[in-house]
Amino acid sequence: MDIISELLDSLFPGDTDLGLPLFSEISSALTDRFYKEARIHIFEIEGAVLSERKGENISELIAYLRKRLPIKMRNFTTLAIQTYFADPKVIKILRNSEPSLFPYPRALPEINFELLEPVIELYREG
Amino acid sequence: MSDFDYLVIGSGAAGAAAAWKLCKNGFSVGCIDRGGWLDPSKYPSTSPDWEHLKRTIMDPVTGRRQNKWDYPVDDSSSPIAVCNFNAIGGSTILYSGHFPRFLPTDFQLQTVENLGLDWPIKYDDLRPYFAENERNMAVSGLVGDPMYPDIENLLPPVPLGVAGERLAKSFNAKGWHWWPSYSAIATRAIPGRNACINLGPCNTGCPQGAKSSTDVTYIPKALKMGLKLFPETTVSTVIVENGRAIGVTGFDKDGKSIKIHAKNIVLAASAIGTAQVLLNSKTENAPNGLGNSSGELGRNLMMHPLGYVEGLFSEELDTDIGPQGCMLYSLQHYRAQDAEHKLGYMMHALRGTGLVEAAVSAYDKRKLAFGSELYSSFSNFYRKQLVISIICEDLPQPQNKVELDVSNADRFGIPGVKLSYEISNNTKKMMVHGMERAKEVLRGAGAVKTFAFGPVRSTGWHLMGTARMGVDPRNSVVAPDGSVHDVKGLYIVDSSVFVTGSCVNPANTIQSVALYLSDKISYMHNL
Repeated sequence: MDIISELLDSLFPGDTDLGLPLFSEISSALTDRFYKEARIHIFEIEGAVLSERKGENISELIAYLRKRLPIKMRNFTTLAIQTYFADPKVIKILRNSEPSLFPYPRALPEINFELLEPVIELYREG
Repeated sequence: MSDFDYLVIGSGAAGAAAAWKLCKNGFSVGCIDRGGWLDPSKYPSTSPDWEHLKRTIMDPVTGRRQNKWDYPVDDSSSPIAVCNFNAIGGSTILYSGHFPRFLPTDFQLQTVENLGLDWPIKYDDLRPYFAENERNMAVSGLVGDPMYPDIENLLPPVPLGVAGERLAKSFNAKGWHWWPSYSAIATRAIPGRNACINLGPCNTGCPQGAKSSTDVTYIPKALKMGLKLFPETTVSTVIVENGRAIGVTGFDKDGKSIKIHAKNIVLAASAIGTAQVLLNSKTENAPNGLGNSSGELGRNLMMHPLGYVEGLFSEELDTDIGPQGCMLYSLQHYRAQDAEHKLGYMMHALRGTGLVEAAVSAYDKRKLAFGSELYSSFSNFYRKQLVISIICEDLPQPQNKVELDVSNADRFGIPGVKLSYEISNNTKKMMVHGMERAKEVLRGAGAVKTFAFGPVRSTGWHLMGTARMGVDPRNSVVAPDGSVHDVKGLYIVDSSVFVTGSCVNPANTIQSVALYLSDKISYMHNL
């Protein structure tokens, strides 16, 4: 596995109890889009990793990259968040519902109109 | 030769209402929009990836989105970015549908408060048009609001949910006004319309058809009365002959030059688009743009600077269910006697966001941990966020303006627009006041933490004032009947004509003014 994939799986490790996937296990359409959008940041991150660091564990590496390339890592991480949390399996588990919103109706209780009595009273007095 | 009695430019809030009214009054009407029909079955909320689509093809910020129907917008000199949308339905495709009326005082600020200017029309002139518009737009809400005692007919209000009830109790504990939102959302099925099914995000288009965008309200009714619609047709200039508007030039969707003639031209392309067309319609007699002898065209741009206060709760609320932008509102601070600022603001409660926005929000606040703590830190935010936005009134200032941007043209070579905007000191003080009050309400509702920020950049929806209405041609662009002072047969019926901007969402007032002016125009036509 390349360093970027390892980095992403470390950031988004999945959860076997919840059934949540690793980053590398989410929809390939989403990851393809991620790699396309993030390539500017990936290039510099890879360069920093390959030329400057060797042998750290992934957590130490992430901490180093955040210090060394704060803006690139921030943009890279934001794109990764936007990708991971858009995965249908992730959505289904975390929202406990179908991945798309439409056409699944949801209900809320009717308004408790007694809550409005203080407002009406206030203006009646005024 | 005229193809129509009236040619309406724009099919959004104002244009669609005007087109319908003019058709109803028996005229032959054409309506042009640079945007086309959208397919609701492809709106973002039909896909799991809706939040990506919300950030891209349905990005509300026009200058960033730049779809094929958009024109270039440079708002880099404004703290607030222009938000509008080009399609059949205009910005109503993306709006949240929050639908209060302007209040009576809003039309008479000079007389009542010695501020700004008075409109040459009053709330009472618009009263029957508000009622008509609320029927046509299937507005839901609750009669009996002390702030709007004259509203009589509404569909049942959108539900508050647990989140809204918590807020309501907090407002009650403070003895503050609040009321269920006025919402252009059908909460019950009515002929031709489905009822809301509480998906959440209304501002990426409503695939259910419950939100009252004009493509599912005024436009279909007008088409049945003979409206001729010209989608994907872009207007470049208004044609004037012997001091009278007789048509428009433009381009069809393939880029072919066109001219469409009409006895009268009615502009309703928004405070940005209408100004753009007129500024681009220079003539020998109008070197600064058509209708601009006063120098006021493009000036006095008003927006509603917004502050946001997010409350974070320790337990899950139902904030992901129900129309995101319609729940409850408060005009407690419409005027605040003890404040440093003049005028006032509306508090507007907003429900929560989707998973992606919740996760990014947590990350931006440095509260999203990664690795083994990712899911627990995420769950500290998702369904636990509630926002109160502070919608501030900003008075018109001549230096706040829209100009043509000749260095940045659209695909037809029509100049884009450039904005200049400064938020007044009064409004800045107002926003601080509002954000502090909103924190109080959210804490009273049980929020364990609050995050306040403003002005929020991506909120320039409420665009008004660039061709203001007035009796005196020396300081206004249109007369009280919507006719452009300088040019016969040319009218403006959208929010460009607004003299002041209130502190509430303007869509209902925009449409009611359009209906009122269309009746005025019809009456003058028949004289």
